[in-house]
Amino acid sequence: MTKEHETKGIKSRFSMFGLKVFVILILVSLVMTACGGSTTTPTATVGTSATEITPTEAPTDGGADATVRFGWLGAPDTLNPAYAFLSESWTIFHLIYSTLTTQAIDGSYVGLLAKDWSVSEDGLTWTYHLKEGFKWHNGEPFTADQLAWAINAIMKDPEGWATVANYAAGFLEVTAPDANTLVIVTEYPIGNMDYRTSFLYAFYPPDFENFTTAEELQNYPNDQAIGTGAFILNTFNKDSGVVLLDANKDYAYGAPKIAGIIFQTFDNGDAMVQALKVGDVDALTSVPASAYETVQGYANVKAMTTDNTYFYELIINSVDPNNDPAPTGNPALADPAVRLAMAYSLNKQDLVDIVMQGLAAPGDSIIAPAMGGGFWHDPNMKDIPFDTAMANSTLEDAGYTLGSDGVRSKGDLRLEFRLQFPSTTPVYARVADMMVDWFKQAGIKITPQSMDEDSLIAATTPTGDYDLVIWAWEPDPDPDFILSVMTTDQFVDGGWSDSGYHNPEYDQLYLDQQQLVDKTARQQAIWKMQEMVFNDMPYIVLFYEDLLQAYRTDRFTGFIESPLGIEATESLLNVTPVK
Amino acid sequence: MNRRDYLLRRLGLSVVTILVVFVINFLLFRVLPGDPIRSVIGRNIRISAETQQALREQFGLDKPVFPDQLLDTFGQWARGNLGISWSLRRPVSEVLMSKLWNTVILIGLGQILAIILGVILGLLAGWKRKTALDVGALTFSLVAWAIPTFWLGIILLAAGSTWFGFPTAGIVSPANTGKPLITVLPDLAHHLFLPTLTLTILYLGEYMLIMRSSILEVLSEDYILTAKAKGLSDWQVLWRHALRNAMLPIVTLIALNLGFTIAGAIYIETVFSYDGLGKLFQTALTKQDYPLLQGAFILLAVSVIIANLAADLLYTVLDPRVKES
Amino acid sequence: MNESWVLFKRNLRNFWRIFSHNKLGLLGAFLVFTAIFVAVFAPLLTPYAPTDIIRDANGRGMTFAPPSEHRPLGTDDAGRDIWSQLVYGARISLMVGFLAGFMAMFVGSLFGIMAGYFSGRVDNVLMRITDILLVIPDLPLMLILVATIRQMDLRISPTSVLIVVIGLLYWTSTARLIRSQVLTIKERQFVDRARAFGAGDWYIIRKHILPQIMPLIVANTVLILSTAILIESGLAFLGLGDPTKPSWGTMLNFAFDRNAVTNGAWWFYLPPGLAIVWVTLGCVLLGNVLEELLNPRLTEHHLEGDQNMIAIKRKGAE
Repeated sequence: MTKEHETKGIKSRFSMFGLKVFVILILVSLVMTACGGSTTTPTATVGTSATEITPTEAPTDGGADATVRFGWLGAPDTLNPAYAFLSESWTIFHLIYSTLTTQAIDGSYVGLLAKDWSVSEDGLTWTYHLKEGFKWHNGEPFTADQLAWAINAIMKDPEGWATVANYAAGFLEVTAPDANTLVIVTEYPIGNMDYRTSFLYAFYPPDFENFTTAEELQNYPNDQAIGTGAFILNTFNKDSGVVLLDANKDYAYGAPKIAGIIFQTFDNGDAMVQALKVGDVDALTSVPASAYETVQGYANVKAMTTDNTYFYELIINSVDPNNDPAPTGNPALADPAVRLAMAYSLNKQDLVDIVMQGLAAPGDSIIAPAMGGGFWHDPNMKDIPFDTAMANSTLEDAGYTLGSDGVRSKGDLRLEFRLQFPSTTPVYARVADMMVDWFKQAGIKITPQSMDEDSLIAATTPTGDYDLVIWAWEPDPDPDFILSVMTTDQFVDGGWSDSGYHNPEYDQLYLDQQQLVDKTARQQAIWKMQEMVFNDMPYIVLFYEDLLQAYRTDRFTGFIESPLGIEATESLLNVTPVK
Repeated sequence: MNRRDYLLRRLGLSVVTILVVFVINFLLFRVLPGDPIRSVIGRNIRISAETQQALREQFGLDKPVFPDQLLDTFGQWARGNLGISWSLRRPVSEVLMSKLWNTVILIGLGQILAIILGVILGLLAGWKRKTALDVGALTFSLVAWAIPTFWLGIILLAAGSTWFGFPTAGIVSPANTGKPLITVLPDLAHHLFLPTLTLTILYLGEYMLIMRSSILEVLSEDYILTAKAKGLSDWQVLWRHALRNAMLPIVTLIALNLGFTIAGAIYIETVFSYDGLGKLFQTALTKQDYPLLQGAFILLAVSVIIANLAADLLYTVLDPRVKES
Repeated sequence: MNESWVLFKRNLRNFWRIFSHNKLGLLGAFLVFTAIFVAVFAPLLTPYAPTDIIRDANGRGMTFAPPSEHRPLGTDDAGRDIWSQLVYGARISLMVGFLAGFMAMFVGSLFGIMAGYFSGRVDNVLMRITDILLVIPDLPLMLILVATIRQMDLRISPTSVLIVVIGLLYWTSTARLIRSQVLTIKERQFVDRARAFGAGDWYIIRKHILPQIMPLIVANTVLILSTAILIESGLAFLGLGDPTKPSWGTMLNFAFDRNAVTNGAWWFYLPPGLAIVWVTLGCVLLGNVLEELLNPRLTEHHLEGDQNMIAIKRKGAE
């Protein structure tokens, strides 16, 4: 409308026509809303889209009452193990598929498909004896050659099986000498084989046999997945993200005592927490830290905290000055005294108490105590305490004198740094604010800057265009991944290294530990690596975030609290309805 | 100018506007430095450098921007193919369609209620001019304009859920997710109440003002005396004539309002986690899912442009003065 | 110096006489000036900095403390005083509002003057641009503009991005208003006389037209301010503000994301919104009254001011 519309009306030449139009408009709108739509639409593209599938059968035995309803903030992106990016997908995979080994709640690895296994002297041949009694969800018996086919498929097409290919890296040959034995031969000894096999899902070969290109494979929705796990996929509604699983009565370790599981996606923490409060859901896989205390107070709800491996860190630019392009970090950051002073300036307990509402633990190593049940964390590390006086004297002794503007400098070097952080959650901003104050007391000036994650990635890897960054990691259960973040090789486009840490001794140890099958030897190597990182400080680990979960006590009992979460198979197999 | 020329000019302008939208859309996301793929993947440990490259190829991000990507894209959009959402890994048009009705219901209901209530209140306010009711209505209108949409939403959300047990999110309860909305109307109504209330409060002010000024004008007309002489009651006279008077501006306001209503929908759907286009837009923004963002923007912009064109058409049809000159 | 300025001064005197009796206008002025006062004197109004952590007797940070535990407005999710954030936040909200508003006003006035004075093709082009901008829905356009600009490695602070984007999109109503005003003035005699004496276009604009429309520009700017502040709060709420310099909208963003609603922390989400309403209402009241009193064409309307509100709403409400 370009003309100023008149509020003065039109004269009476305007007949009842106008009124009729008005009425028609109202009627049309009413009709539209009444015939409105479903949350799925009839005009959706035809195909194997999950929106067309209706539940084939309702859960039996107690019906909907015995179905555990979980609420979470995310949703699976796809149920195709070849190409699933989001952790919610992997939660589902662990429930519907079985793997040779799996992590137990104490952090060790136990057999799942395998009842026992051994490795040859040279560390290159792994022999697994499978447990009897596994059946596919469609009733067919499960045999070792089917798992061999699955792993071979991944090995042959690592590009197509993008998100699982790493787990089969270094495998040479996988065979099934008989129906209950699987043999894996590797190129080099693999130190974390149990962890690898815990992510190699036994998916149903006929579903994946006929793809000729990687793209075809990746576009396959797999929304009628067949596995051998404790639960059977009933439906996955892509529009709403809802996943419905039924109990597998013929599960090799005994049928679950619940009828099924529903995973429900919520868009916001308040809504999810409210749903738990009123009983719309039975459990939450993750409670937002700022709502935790309130959730604890709800009637008939049990909330719990568990140690976790997720951590927040302060990244200090450690990029090689000879890098191309040259890093723009303040050269003062290369001085170990400056790093030490920064460590002294940080009050990690305060961060835990205030920003995380007490639901975290101050951190020291990039490998949290919770990883692998405490096996990998180096207990010999003594964290730098919060001591502003020490921070100041360290800097003073190193020659950084306090200027009249409150900022220390030494010759050309001035202790003024940019502090960048992602704009994704308010936690980073809170942490940054507190850091500004602490560093100021040591004579270090910080300018905080919130950035899009994308821009932050571009600024760190492999450009080194920053001074300090606050970020976080959610490592895999085995230390290998988080250790790789510190290797020189990962400081490439698309790589994981944001700090640019380059220590050839560390890199060598990384390669070494990959091939140490003897757990104690591997542990020693990994301890050494942690100490290197701790001393050189490319990261100052701030705190480990607790795993916060909650469930209603009036509906189900038997949830097992552990770093694996109450949604782990081991826990869900133990859950029974409250009578 | 005559009606035909006017319409042609408006049509031409609409087409140009749509083209401008296309160009903005395209330029904004394709000439960015930095890597759009990284924003979706973030620090997802499952995606190695090789997979990222494969993703880039899949989304055509490795081709030169001009002319390949530009022409490709315009051609696609014209055909209704809005690409694939990176974060949802589904065709954008499919995702948009699945949320479209939810927003239409919310906006439609909110507007209808705003119109009905606004018209009635306007009538009363104009009729009882300068009384407490009138002043109250005007004040309300004024203050409502100054209230941020999302803030009103938060307050109603907090009050509604704490004191009245209204749900805090979603279109339906978790138990009813995925069912056709027709079958769960009471649940839907329960969830729609607070968001619709928010929209209605914010928009009824304008309609009220139109109706009120229309009343005031009618009151000063001569034919009122004639009508009363004929024996009609005050009420009937006012209603029939004032309504007719207000009809045109109200109808055009509906179309004009579409632009604001979309903004309102974005805020309200975010606050109430209502699964419509508004929330989708906001989520796409946060996740930096550019195909989805672009597709949603095109859909929203084109809808508003068409609605405005329709309003113009309607205006020329309804407004006798545009016939000649 | 000449007729125009004399006119201007006389108008000003008349204006003040009327304005001081206009209750709504006075109320508006009061609201606006108290907000400015608070923003300017923020450090004097609170002993805390916005990032200071409030601790209890045992030294523990008091998160989500209600006003009963910590006057006057309690603490937020990170134990910081809300009243401090409110008064310091006024600086950000008002600054962004003012700067964005001035930008919109400047661009709008420039375009309006050019379109009205030069007519012809310039007018056509500018008006077409205005038409196009008017139709495209604002919020989605702003959101994607902000998202894009922040991605580009321009080292612009998030706040500046907001200012620029709002300024670039909200000049249209000003442009139209100024244009129609300029069209009227252009026809007046003294302009022709000036031209007859060989005065250049820009000279005429500066000496004759500008003083005449200045009051209108001022009035319109105040109205645009109200919109700018509302929009800024909306964008900040959606997460596009600068978390290191929280405005009222950013405070609401934190409140929402950190579950203030679930925690029942009404002292966290009520005050910032009330502050926004306070200032916006003030600007609207003040602006409406200013516009009526200063715009010669509108003097026959009564104080209901419907037309203004609707004209503003067309490019104003979010």
